[in-house]
Amino acid sequence: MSDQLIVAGFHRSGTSATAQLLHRAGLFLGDELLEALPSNPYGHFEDKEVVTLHHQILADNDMTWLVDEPFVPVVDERRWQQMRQLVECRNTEHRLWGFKDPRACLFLALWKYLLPNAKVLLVYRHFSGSTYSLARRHSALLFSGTISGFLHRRFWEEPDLALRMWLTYNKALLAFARANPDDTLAVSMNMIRDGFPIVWAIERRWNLGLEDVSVGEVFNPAASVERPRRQPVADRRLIGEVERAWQDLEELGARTERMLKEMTIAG
Amino acid sequence: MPDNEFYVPDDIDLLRMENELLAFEVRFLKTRLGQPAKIPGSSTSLNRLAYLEDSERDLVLLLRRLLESPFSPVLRRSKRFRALEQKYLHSPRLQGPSSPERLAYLEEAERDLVLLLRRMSARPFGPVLRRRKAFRTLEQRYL
Repeated sequence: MSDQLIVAGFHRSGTSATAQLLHRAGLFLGDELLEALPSNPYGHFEDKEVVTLHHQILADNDMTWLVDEPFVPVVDERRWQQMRQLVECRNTEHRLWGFKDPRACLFLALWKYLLPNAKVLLVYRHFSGSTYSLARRHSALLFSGTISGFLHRRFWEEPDLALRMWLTYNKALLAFARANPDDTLAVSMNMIRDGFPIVWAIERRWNLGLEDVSVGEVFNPAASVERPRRQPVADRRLIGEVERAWQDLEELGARTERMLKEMTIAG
Repeated sequence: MPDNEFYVPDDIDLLRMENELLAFEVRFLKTRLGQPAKIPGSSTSLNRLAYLEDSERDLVLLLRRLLESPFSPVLRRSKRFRALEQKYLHSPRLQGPSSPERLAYLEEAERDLVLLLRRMSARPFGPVLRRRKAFRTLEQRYL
């Protein structure tokens, strides 16, 4: 019987550092992980097989990862088969395994259907930091002349694209957390930066057999940069929605802290 | 001057995005200007080259240490490990610091070293290996 732990969070929200920490703690994250890039110097800790599968499902639905509106994927039998094979293979080979991919936010319900006991660690970051970090990454890619220039340019052609993406991904996380409260644990990038003991918290909650590793061993606060000015927005209707989503995410984070405090007091 | 040579910025959002992109471009160019010397005819900096050569040296040393260890027979059963051994210990090394082939080789060596270290740092061997300072240093440097 295997246990699974999925790490899900919007792009540039601290999911890579979290996955690196869990990898050190003994979580198997894949045979072939995506290599480090200047935008993610410590590595992405994303399994190529899972990422490819997510890309394929998005492509089947005529989408890329730039999803900026509510999205219910249509999955054909061939992709279900691929997902099942991956699950069977990992379950046979590993007592505890998982994966990390920001795109997983959009597919959590599918994975939960295949892995009913899977636990999900939700990682979130304030919209201002995430969207600024995305802009920094894609401007650098655009000016470096890497392929897919049209994709990078979209962030400066479509007003609020990054903000709408943040909203879509995080609303998907919130919906999943509401439907599966016992199988989710939410942490914010601020909590991680302040040294919140993630591995210890996961162990207290689900007892997966991870080895305790402190956040300070992998998280480099200098690697994350905050937006120097206020968040620009073109469509004012987004403001309320984004603020509500942020408050809901913060409530999930506070619930994690409360729960751990109670468990610690209860011994 | 005909009217169509004028540009009236009436879309505030497009103007704002253009401005933001320009700010990023300035930042990108400043960073590039501030970077250390490059190898002639290449986009790779000398610092980066030195780092890549260090990583190749570390990979060779690590492979030698592993082959001298009691785990050598077990490791050799792995096709991937045999491929690394063949490539970095038994094949002639690509020389010439500025050749693109040498750079590609060094970058591949760096990737192989990172993958190998990730494998080693996972359980069950990671916690045991981490007791050694040399391993912790490699982890710190490359992971």
